[in-house]
Amino acid sequence: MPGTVSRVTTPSIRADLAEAHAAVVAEWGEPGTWWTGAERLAIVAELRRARAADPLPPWVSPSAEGLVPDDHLLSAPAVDAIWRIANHAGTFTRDVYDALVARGLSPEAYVELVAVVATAAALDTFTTALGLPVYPLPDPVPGEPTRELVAGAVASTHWVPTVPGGVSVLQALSAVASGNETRRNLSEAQYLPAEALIGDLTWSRGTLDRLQIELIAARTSILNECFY
Amino acid sequence: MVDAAAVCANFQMMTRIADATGTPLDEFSVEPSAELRSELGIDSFAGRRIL
Repeated sequence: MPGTVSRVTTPSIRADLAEAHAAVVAEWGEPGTWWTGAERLAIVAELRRARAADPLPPWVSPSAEGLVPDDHLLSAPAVDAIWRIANHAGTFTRDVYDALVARGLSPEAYVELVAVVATAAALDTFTTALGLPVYPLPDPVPGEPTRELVAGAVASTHWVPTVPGGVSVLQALSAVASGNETRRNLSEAQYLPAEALIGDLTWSRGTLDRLQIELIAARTSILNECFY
Repeated sequence: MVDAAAVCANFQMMTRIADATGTPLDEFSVEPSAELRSELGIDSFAGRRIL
């Protein structure tokens, strides 16, 4: 518009948060426990495709709509899982999970997929909220997944296998050690350090106080219709 | 603003993890949250999971 002066400012992102995000982006391209680096990057790319697409109802999968090409690096159930988690996570049910596993997605591979999708949703939300471009994807690091099973992980309290004990949401990814560690590191940079999590209602980084942090957390959770 | 976006981002992550893994409400939270869940309509969410 003539006469209008627009000014773009780049927000200052504290170093520990920028480092945590950079580490997650790098990990997306590295071989994981059940997926190669190229497959993990394909999971992130699929999350972005799902969020940018015309919305499908929760009960309609992209594979049923012909949206998964035959030469896709990921299987149809993996893509279906990504779209559901990306756009309708609050509608996920036990039946949906069981159907994905019955179509060939192993529970452990599924847990790692959830970890990658969830971290990608976090980072894309962050950059979008600040008017920044999404983080570019790195080149994939060659190599095979470790296929390392976590001792003691069983399906009991959750649908997916977990190592029993502790706060249940913090155990949700425990069947894939690397995914759980990434979740923990990211939470500490984005939300609260572990030592402040329980009981310290005065903790602050000097910007938001703890009650403001919890208000944003609760509002985000209820908008996502997350029961937990 | 940056820290607010970071907290929001974190709960875009945690809600997806909880919902996609069938994470149940912790036993220690069930009773203290009952009235609040009822008032806010949270008990009617599709992802309701209490052991």
